[in-house]
Amino acid sequence: MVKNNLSLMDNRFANNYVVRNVVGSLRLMLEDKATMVYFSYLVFVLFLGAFGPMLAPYPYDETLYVNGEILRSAPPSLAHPLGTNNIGQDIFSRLLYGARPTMITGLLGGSMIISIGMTVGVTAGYVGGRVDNTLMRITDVVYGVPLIPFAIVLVSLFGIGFVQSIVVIGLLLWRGNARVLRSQVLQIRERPFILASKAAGASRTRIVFKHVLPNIAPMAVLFFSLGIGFSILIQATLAFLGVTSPFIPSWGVMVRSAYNSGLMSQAWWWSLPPGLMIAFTVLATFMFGRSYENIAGQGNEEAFVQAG
Amino acid sequence: MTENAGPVLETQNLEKYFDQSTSIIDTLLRRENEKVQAVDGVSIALDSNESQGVIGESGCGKTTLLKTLMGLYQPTNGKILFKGNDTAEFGRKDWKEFRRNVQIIFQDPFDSLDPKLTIRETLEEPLKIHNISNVDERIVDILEQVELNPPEKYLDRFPRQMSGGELQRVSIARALILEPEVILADEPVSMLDVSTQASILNLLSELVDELDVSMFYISHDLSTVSYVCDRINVMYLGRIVESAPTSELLEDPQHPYSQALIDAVPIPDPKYNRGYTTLEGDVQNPVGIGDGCRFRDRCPDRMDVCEQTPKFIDVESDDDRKVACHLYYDHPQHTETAHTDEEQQEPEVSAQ
Ligand code: SF4
Repeated sequence: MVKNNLSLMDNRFANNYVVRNVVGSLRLMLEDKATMVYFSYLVFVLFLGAFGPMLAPYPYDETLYVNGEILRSAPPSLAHPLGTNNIGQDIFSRLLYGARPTMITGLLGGSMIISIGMTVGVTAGYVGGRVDNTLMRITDVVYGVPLIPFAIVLVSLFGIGFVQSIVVIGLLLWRGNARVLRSQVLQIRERPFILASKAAGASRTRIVFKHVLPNIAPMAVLFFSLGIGFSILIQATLAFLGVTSPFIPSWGVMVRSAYNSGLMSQAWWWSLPPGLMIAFTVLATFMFGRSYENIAGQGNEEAFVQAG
Repeated sequence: MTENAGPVLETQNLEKYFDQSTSIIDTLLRRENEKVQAVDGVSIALDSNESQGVIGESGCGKTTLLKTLMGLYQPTNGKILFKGNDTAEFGRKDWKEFRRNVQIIFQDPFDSLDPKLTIRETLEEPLKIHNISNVDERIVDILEQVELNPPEKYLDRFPRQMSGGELQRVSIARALILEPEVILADEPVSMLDVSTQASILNLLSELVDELDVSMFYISHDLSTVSYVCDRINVMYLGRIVESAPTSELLEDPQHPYSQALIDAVPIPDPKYNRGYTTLEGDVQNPVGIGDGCRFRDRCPDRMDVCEQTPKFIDVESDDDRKVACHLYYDHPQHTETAHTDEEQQEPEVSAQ
């Protein structure tokens, strides 16, 4: 008996709620081949974000010379696998450097979106009444704001900058999260297991943190990854429109420079790689989120099958 | 909170109405909002160590009654007394005491336990809330009591890894782990298959006896209710229409609705011959229904006087039983004169 209790104690640590859920569902997800591919790709981008600058053969802003001449718009070669741009910078190096700002954009934007969205949604859904009304009206107002024009206005107010452009995205895009999570909470809070725990005297905080949040977690993970994707996408748009710092060599800024130089179509080695990187990264976050949702959904279906 | 020798849990004229959702147009036109009268003037008292059933068709308000009793809904009118104290006047401490002593078991075992928690975590929660020590010991004990053996095997399982019967045992364990005085059970076996039903019912009634718990057992299924309960309340559209000790109700139902219910229970004897009372029509929606006996649209014995709400009175021959039907008390000769504006509390004078 005593021995048993001890081993239970050990288990308890490994069985920590968050750890258990994350590890458990990740394992399930990676059984799917396609998800495995997306996941590996995201890990790869994260890796580039962390170590890309160290791997780059040249500093991103170094102008390269050949025989005293600036190496302008050189096509791919062995020395420069992706060629150079119109001011003689190595594109491959810039691409590697560009992973970091892109990754920061995604993570910062995504976290802002999910944290604001979740706070608003869960509070509105669980507290209800006047609080719910107020929060949802605010959400409606935010819904009415057109994203890109507003971002341009805000960025020009706060000053053009890399971080500003991300914050603006975070401040607007939480709206969808808030709505959907609220409706999830509305459903969950009427389910018998929540009522039973209320009946046992659980406080509001306890119910929200122990029962509500873990049960909307799959949805939240989906939204987090969608948020990452959207942030990257919109930040690239803003970069393209010129409302972010041009000195931070994100992929979006690269596409813009290529466009501005007027060499977009000739120097495909310049515009295409960052564009494709953006597209793949966004796609991978979306698909990854989807598959998490599927897994979580399957869990429920399993329960239904048993119920039937 | 003062102790009291009377009923543990009691309702006096309990009412719970719901607003129907109103559209903006209704609000603009100041249309009167019709209320759903889910529970309408219910008075029942549960003594300690007693098991009472509330039986009725789905939609009759029995689940609302239960949730109101549990304090999950605010009553519209009337009182809920816990050991003689009005819950409306409860402070924080009183509620905590109430929450420790009144527990609930729900119908759907697959949705009664948090899917993200292990069985141990589910059972641990009430103990933590009420600062009770020797958690592990208690959990193991209670699992043994609900016959989930060996308990260690179940502790770290998730609800999705268990069968309906097992899950319902865990629900019972969760309700009993705080050693409550009252259990409210909302059709705890109706979603289980028949063989499991029997074992869960057995378990429940044994435990309730053993642990000196009182129970409100709510169901639409007369056979399970009569198996577990000492006394049965028949509910129809928000009102209790008859209340009697189980055996008496089964042998000699008074209210036409109870008669119909009991006739509907199959009797496993092909030679048994009985007059069938068939119930025609459907249950009304309890929306904005006015006075009168609520059963009158379906009642085979309907009279003119049934347009007035019948009193809930003792059956003459037996003061342990009550029934709400005009058949069971005398009315003044000229009912027409007495027929307007009579309230339930102030019924037409009778019984000279
Ligand atoms: S009061 Fe009248 S309508 Fe109602 S059950 Fe009795 S006889 Fe039937």
